[in-house]
Order: sequence, then C-alpha cells, then structure tokens
Amino acid sequence: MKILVELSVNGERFEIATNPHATLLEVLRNQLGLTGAKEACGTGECGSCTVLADGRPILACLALAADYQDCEITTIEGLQAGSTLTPVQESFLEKGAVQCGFCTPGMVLSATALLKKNPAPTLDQIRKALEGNLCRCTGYNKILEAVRAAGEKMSQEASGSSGQ
Amino acid sequence: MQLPRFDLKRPSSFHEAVRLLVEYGNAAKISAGGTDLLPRMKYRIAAPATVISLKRIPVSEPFQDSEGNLHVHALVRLSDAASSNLVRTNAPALADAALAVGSEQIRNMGTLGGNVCLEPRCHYYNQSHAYQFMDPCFKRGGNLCYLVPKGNRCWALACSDTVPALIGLRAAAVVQSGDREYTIPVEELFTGDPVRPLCLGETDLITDIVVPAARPRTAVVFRKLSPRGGIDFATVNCAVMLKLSEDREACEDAIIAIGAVSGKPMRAGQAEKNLLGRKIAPDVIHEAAGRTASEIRPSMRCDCSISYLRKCIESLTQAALETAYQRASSGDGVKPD
Amino acid sequence: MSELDYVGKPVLRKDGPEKVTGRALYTVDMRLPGTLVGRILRSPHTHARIVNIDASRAERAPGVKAVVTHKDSLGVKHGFVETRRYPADQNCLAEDKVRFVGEEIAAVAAVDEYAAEEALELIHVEYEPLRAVFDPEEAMERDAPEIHPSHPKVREPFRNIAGKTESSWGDVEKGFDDSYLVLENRFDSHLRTHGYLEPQATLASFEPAGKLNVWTSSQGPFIKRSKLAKTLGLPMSAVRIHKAYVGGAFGGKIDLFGHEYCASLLSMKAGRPVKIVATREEVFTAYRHGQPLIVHVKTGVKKDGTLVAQRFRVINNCGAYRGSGVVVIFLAWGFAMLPYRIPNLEYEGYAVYTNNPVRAPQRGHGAPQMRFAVESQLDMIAEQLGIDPIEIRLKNARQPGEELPNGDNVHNCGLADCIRKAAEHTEFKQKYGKSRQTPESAGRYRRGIGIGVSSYFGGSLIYPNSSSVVVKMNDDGTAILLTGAMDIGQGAETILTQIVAEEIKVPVEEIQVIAADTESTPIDIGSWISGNAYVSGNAARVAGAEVRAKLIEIAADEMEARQEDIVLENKTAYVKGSPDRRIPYSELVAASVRKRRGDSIIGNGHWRTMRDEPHHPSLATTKGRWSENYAFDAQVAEVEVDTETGKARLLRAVTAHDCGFPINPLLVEGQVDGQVSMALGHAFLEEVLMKDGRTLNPNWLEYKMPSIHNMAVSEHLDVVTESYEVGRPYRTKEVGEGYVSAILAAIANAVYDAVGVRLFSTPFSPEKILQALGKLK
Repeated sequence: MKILVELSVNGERFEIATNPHATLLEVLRNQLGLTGAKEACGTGECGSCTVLADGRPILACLALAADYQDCEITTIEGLQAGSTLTPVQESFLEKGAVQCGFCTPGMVLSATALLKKNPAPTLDQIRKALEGNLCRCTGYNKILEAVRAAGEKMSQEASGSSGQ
Repeated sequence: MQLPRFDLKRPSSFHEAVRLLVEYGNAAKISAGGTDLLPRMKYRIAAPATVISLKRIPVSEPFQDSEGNLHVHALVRLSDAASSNLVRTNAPALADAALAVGSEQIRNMGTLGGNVCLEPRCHYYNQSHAYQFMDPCFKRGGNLCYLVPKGNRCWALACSDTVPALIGLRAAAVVQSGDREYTIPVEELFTGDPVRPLCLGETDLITDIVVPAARPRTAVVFRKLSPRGGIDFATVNCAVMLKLSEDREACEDAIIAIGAVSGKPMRAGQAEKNLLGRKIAPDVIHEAAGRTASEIRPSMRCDCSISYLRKCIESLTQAALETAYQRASSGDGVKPD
Repeated sequence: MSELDYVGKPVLRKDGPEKVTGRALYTVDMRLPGTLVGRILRSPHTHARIVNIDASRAERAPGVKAVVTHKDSLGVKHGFVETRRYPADQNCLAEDKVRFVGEEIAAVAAVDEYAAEEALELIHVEYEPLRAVFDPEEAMERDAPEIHPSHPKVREPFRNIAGKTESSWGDVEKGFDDSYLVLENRFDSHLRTHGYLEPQATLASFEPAGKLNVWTSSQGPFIKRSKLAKTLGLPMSAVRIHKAYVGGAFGGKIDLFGHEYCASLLSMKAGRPVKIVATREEVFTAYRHGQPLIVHVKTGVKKDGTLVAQRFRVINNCGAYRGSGVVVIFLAWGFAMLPYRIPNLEYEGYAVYTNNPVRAPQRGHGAPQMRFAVESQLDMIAEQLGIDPIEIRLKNARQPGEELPNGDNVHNCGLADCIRKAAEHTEFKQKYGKSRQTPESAGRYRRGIGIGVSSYFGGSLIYPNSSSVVVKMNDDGTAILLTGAMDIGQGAETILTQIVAEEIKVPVEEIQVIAADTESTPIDIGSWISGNAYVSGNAARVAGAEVRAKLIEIAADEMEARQEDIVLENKTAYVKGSPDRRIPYSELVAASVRKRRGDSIIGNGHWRTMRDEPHHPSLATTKGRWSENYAFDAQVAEVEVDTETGKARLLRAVTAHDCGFPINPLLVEGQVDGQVSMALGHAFLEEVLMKDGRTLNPNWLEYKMPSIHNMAVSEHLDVVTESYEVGRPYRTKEVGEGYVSAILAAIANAVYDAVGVRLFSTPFSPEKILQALGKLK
C-alpha cells in the first residue's frame, strides 16, 4: 500500500504517494526527477547519494523517504541561485576536482555543508568531512585544493559584503 | 538496490515503540538511524514485515544530573554525540569513539543506541546470497559456518566503536521494557553469541546511556585501528580507563576493553588486575599491552591472521595506555584531545 | 611556431558546469516511457553442466514481460579478442556449461524490480556440478579439471591454456654466461578491481521498425555497436549507441557485457525499453577485474650494471573465458622490454583458464605487475653491485631515436631526463639508504625513498583502428566539433576542442561538441588503448586545419591579400601588420556560401596510427609493429612505515614524465594524481578477496579503495619533448594509464629502503610487512 509522503526539497513542498519502503534516493530520482544524487553502491559506503537534510550530509540511499518529512532536503540541483555557480562548484571546476563527475554532486554537497559550518577548515577537518565520499578519478588532491579555495572565496565574499 | 517490501510504523515515543514491538513481535525490526539495518535489508539478510522507525521520537540534549552523571539519549546522532560540549568534556572517549564511526554521513544518521546494538559482522554474512554462499549460515538461521567449515558456532565480529568506550567509562544503558524501565551496565548487554548478540528482551529498547561522573586522576581513552582511517569498521578498537593514586604514580583502577575481534567486546581482566597498585612506567605499560594481546583471543577472520590481530591489540593498547597515563597524571584527565 | 592560444593551457573542462550542478545525465539516469526493469540470473556454481533450464513459471509470473535464455540467442559467441588464433569463446547466455560463479544464465524484464527479482527465483536450473580449479598453476597441471581444451597451437603438455605469447632476440643463455651477476626471482601480484563509481548499466530500446537504440556506460560506442550487432544478428546500421556521461571505467567497460546483450535481447522480445543496472555487488562478484600475474624474471648484468640478458616467464590467471587474458600476456612482454635496452631477451607468457570470473584490462593492463617485478629486481641488482638506483637506470634507459626490437622507434624519448629530474627534485641520492643505516632505536616510524620507471604506448591497431573528426562552422562564426570520442572523465572532449580551437582560432567555449554517438558522429578509436589524445587528437587537428585553410582562402579573397599573409585570431581574420582591419568569421562563412557555391565551411580529419602497418602485432609471437609513440616516466615514492603496526603509507609521489605535448596541463595533472592514488591503493589497501571462485568482499566497505585519508602529495615534472605546431602532426603521447606502474615499483623499492626487507608480492599489507620484519609470532 502506498503512503503519502510530504517532502520539502530545495525549498519546494511535494506530496508524493510512494511505498513505505521507498528510500529518499528513489523518491528524488524516480519520482521527482532529481537525478543529481547517484546510487553507486546503495549500501552507504561511497557517498554518491549524499544530500543535505537540514544542512547536514546524509546518505539518501539509506534514508527512508517517510523519515525525512520534517526537514529541508537540499540536493545538488538546489544549491545554486539562478544560473550562477556556488563558490564550491566554481572551485571544483577551476581546480580540476572533477573528472568523471559521478561522485561530484555528493562531494560538492559534503563540502558545502562543511564550509557553511566552518569556512576555514584545516586539512584534517576537510578530510574528516569528506571521508564518506569516495572518488576513484582524482586521488582527492584537487578536491582538497578546491574545498580550501572555496572556503577562502566564501570568507572573502562574506567579509566583502559585510564591509559594504 | 531496493529494500524489500515492508510496513512502516513511526512511533513518537519509546512507549509507543515498545507497544509496537509487543504487537508485532519477531516480525518487526527497529530502525534508529537505519545505517545498519537498511543495508542488511537490501542484501535480504533481514526482511522484517514491519519496520519500526524511531525517527519521530524527540531527542533530548545530553545533560548532567545533580550527581554529575552524564545522560545521553539513545537516539542522539553520533555526530551530535561527538560534538556535544558536555560529552567532549565529561566523556571524551565517547566523543572520540562516536567520531570514529563510519563517515560524516553515517554519523549524521546513525544513533548512539543503534551503534551500541550494531549487528555483528562477517564477510560471508554481510552480502546478499542470490548466487554466492547460498546455504544459510548460523547467523542466517542455518547450521553451517563458511569461515570455519567444521565449526559449530558463528564467528561474526562485534564491531561497535562506542561500546568499548562505554565499557571503559563504566556506562550503563537505561532500557524500556514494557511499562517498566531498568538499568544495565553496557558491558553486560552482550551475550558473546553473534547470532543473538544482545541480552535484551525482544521487546526491550535502550532509551538512554548514562555515563557516571568523571573521577579525579582518571582518564578514559579510545583508539581505533582500521585500514583506511575512515569509513571502515575497526580491525581492532580499544578503550582503556586508568585511575591513578593520589600521588599520581600508581594505578588504582583500570579497564582495558578490546572490540571488533570477537562476538562481543572483551575485557583484558588479567592485564587490568596486574596493573593495580603498580607504579606506571613505560615497561609496565608495555607489559600490560603484551598481557592484553596474549589474553584476548581474537576470532578467525578472512582478511588477516590472528597473530596480526594480536600485534594490533598490543600496539593499540600500548598507545591508549600511554595517552591515558599522560592525561590522568597531568591532572585534567577528563579533557579531550 | 605561431603563438598558442588554446593548447598547452589549463582550460577548464567543457563538461564541468554540467557535472558540478548535477545536470550531467549518465546511463543510470536515463529513462524512456514504459521502461522495464531487467535482471540477470547468474550461476551459483563455479563449474557445472547445465542439465536443464525451465523458465516457464517465470514467463507466466505477474509483471514479467520477457524472459531470455540461451535458446533465445543466436548462439554467437563473443570475446575481447576475436581472431583466427583466438576465436570468441564466451556465450552471451550460458548454454550447456557454466564456468564461474556469476555467469549469465537467463534474464528477465518486468514492470518493476520486485517482479523481476521474484521471476528470477522462478527459473529452475538443474546443474551437475563439476570439479573446479582456481589457481593458474594448479590449472596447468595434467590432472586439473578441464575448463576449456588447451589451445591447439600450444605444444607444452599443460591443461587449460587459453593462449601463449613467445618472443625472443639475441642469445639469452650466452648472455647469462657472459654476465657478472645473475638474479632470478618470482614476483606475484594480486586481484584488484577498477572501482568505477557508476555501476555497469544499459538502457536498450528496440523500435518496431527494427532499430535498436542503446545507452550504455562504456569506453567507446563503436566497439559496443560492433559486438552487439554481431551477437544479436542485426546489421550494424540497425544498432545505435547513444551518448551518455560515463561515471568512470578504467578499462572495465570496454568489451561486450552480459547486461548489454540481455537488455537488448529482452527489449527485442518485449517490444519495450529495458534497463539493467548492475548492483555494486554484481560488479564485484560477477563482472571483470584486473589480472594478477605471476612473473618469473631472470636477469644478467655486467659489473657496471649494464643489462645483458633477461628471461621472463609470466602466468596469467585469466578466468573462465579468454577475456583480455591473451592480450595481457602480449602486453606484459611489451612493458618488460620498453624502458631499458635488453640485448638478449626471452619471453614466454601463458594465459590460463580458471573457474574465476573473466578478466578485463585495468588501467596499465599488465604494466604495474611487470614494472613491479623488473624494477624491484633492478634495485636488488644495484645494491649487490654497489651502484645507486639512479645510475643503473640511467645506464640502461633508452635514448631518443632508438629502435625497439619489434621495429618501433621511441622517437624523442625523454626517459633519461625523467630519471634525472625526478632524482634531483627529490634529492634521491642524499636520502636513499639513510633509513637502513639508522639504528632500530631511532623509533618506530621509518621513511624510505624509491624509484621506478615505465613506458606506455599511445594507440595501437585494434578495432575500430582509427578516428575521424568533423568540424563545421556556424553562421555566427562559432564552430561545431563532431567526434566519436568518449569522455570517460579524462577530458577527451575538452582536449579535442582545444586542438580544434587552436587550428581555427575559435575560443574553446564557442565550439560545441557532439560526441560518442554511433550515428551522428564519425568513428573513433575509443577511450581504451591510450590513443585518444594522439589518434583522435590528430584527426581533430586535420579537420581543423581544413577549416582553417578554407577560412584563410576566403579571407584572402575578401581582403585582397595573399593567403600567407592572413592571420586568424579569435574568430576574425586580418592581414599581417594591419590588425585593426578585421573580418569576423561570420562574414567569412557568409562569403564562402555566396562565392563557393554554398560551401558553409566544413572540415574532415582522420588518423590512424602507423599508416603503413597492416594490423596489430601478433599476440602469439609479438611480430609486427605495435605503436608509433611511447610515453616515458620516472616516478619517485617516499613512504613511511610504522614498524609497530606494519602500516605503510605513501607520503609523496613525484612523477617526471614525457607525455609529448601536454595539451591541457590541468587534465594531465588530474590523470597523474588519479594514477598515483590507484597505485597506492594497489600497493597498500586494495584486494578482491576470493575463496574458491567466490568473492568475500563485494562492497566498498571491505574492498579498501583509497579514501580521502589515504592520499599522497603528488608532484608533477613535465619533460616536454614535443611542441605543437599548427597544421603539422605532432606526437602527443599518452598520459592516462602509464603512470600506475612506475610508482607502484617505486613504492615497493621505497618500502625496502625504509625497513630493509624486500616484498615479492603485492599488496604490501601491514600484516605482510610485520611478517617480513619478523614481528609476528
């Protein structure tokens, strides 16, 4: 029997008839058409399905959709305002932190959550925040650089705007 | 990967959850954060008709009672446990252990209670069995073990990171059982049988963890060894508690708890006893680590040998004891790293 | 050389914005109306006769729209290699025998996952289990169970030989006799997997008119089209492979796979689109991994370290079907003989059938295993002779212009420079040997430094053998590039665009790429024999050059100037010396249409490596030319070993490499970093654990692919041996898979330098290191 699930995704409310056993990832990908979150393992090991729940990275593949009705879900599709890339997205691009791109949405979201909490993280803090996101292409060097650069960019923007 | 079909219940209190457990019995499984249960369900090792999700139960913040005991709600996220100032100050070993679990995402979903009740793991068990290892092993209700083919028992490993820390802290679990509530030391929660790892009744739920007030000249330290330093379950983990005498030289009380190497976390009782009353010095620590490694009997596993595990136990215990001694003797034994 | 505007620059990836915003659509994201879910029934047996398959209950099950077994197939076999010597040996769906756990038996298409899963359980297969063998040396023995008959051309009395490669020159025995020192060792490597993030996935849609549309996660659409058409009995023109983004491949998505065939056949039977996505566990248990090799190497040297003779015997555990098992024993020869001069050489390599899953190429395809063996032994030799590791390598390194024994030429080989630069940059000579001289009391952590060298070919003659590219101008002066190249993350589309941009002087952002579609783009060699930058790159250059010539011609006309005086720059043309008067390309295109009878300016380019060579060299004898350019590299590893826990880690990797002309330094660095990471996983962390043909760790929790905690500092030193000249061919060499090898060897040598014990098998796990140090009871 289907159940009615109310989700708040990227600032929009959705009422979705779905299975009680539907994961958040299935609902996002199959019912809302938000395919940015990927399933690479399905069992919580790789972080490709990362989305933010109230700003915190979670694994959509291990989240029951029905359990995440009372929070704000942010997917990679909901990060930008308009067509401007966020500082994290921009830095990933500029630093060469993207290759095949399959881990990228999860990486970008994990990094975004970290920098929101801590705009000037140490290398160890970046590693800790991204330890659940596997990447096979880059060796992580450029991802680390990108997160650092994005943090700097965000700090500059913040201080720039507060100075105005 | 799809979950099997099930009916979902979402109680809003532990009382209601226990009532549901009574109603559905064996056919129901509890999901706190879901990170342990759901992968097993996807592998079809668990296929409950009903899942009772505890996500709607309100979670209270950790607090200290008038006697200084620290109360941590069972459903607190591991990341919140790790970052809570109260936990970091009063039980740094618990904060460190919580931070050592899985990954950021896992810690944002997984709960302390869930980690305490983590299902024991085995390479043969933790996968689906559509065309590999199809005959059910002990843990899947059958009567064979793939790891020890001639064996008559299950050799799955209890891999929780928080449990050894809680044992080191002499923490207790508050359990809701029907309308009744009882308290049990965390150490006594485990049967040692990986097939039925918990001593809890089928309708019992852990609602809180209580860590006794920190004692002077005492330090509890958690250490974990794993191949990658993130994501992994421990190859070996270890928590030690060391209480020093008033002159801060001799050992007054000690706990050495070793996890991930057998069906339940193990205490190195003889090594602990041997420490009592002795003046702590490098050779004493070295001896205690050596004793721990020879008295703990790691289970067989398929990715490394027992002699390697013993070596790991030794070096990890040594490191933990060294840090514990440092902290206990420096006067602020309860401060985090 | 004219000024370079677009190549040699760290241009940002063209697909970057799509990828960082989550808009890039991969095969797993593709859906068509009415798509059915396909699932595959796999063998639970390592080796068994199939007595009967009864799928009738599954066919009648609710929600099931089609079931296929061998009976529904044409029985056409397939193989990675399909030659007269090595005909295809694998059924798409098992017929009368299964030879590994996970082999495809049947497939179903149903309305959802649940119906499909339940249907699989309703297919009844009766098996008669057979004796199985998993170890290649055991499989070669006379009394081993026969998986396939030994290859008829192999004379030795071994069982289960899938193929053999033999090659020799000079007189090896005499060489050993003349040597001052002869060492003989065995090196073993272990089973690893690619670890691509996107699982294997295919969406197939058969149209009533007879066209099969396929989206599949691959390394090149043309080989997929060819193999699907052949096995399904369709004309090639009836199969269209569409483009989708690819979430990593690393050699694991080249050949035809069961899910691609089954999705297509099911769609043909059901008349609806069918999508099959393998679970990660299927990828680990039933799909193809890399190839562990047993390498025996005997080497003779003069007193001064000059190589005199080398004999190799290589045994490859190639799994239940040939896969690329007979390719890797050919390549192992190549990777053994490339970097150093070896006057006398004897090589034999065996690919041996076992009841393990089939093997695939994996980044480096035999090179890591071979370089680990050769470079480890070379350090042992150097130590015995009292020569340092740098000098012995410099002494034997191939020099520019040298001809290889197979007739290839190393051209502008920069190997010696690579060795020197890597050594200088890391202060190798000052550091080497230091750790072993310090007493044990100096502490539990030991540091070591090691070097390895490697070489890799850039493109060879394997179907489709060549690349073509079309460049066409738009009315507004921008351009469109059509290429069959498949961007699997390495940046193929970006570098081809840069090359075209350079030729026609249109900014990279203003060239639109249409790629990797078998119908709307021309044929391409594929992203799997390291030929993309060179072969497709030259095709792009030629296509661009044709457009360039047309633009210049019409510009000269319009401006009443000589063609040689026309300068192109940023979508405009001007006469040398008068940059103020420019004609925009939009006007040139309009002029061309007006004056050249409608020519809207289109350029074609095509390229094939080794223009006069008829075909790929013999896999059996190595005769014939292999490639016309070789990349070289020297890599230095600095490691730290914890002698208490046995844990070793790579602290720093320095890659000095000659990849010809680096078209995009940012992408080149990305390739190097990725390979360093893969090599450190190879060295320390990763292993597919198997017991009797079954996989014990079919997930990323237990298969220890490096996480962000396990990265090393990676530095790059370019040894640029080739310049880019507009309109002229150039040797861009390969950069995508050559650098997983020397660094592995360097790590092995660095571990020795740190702790003084030599490891003869990978991985260098904590347990193995402690064992070697005598620290385990």
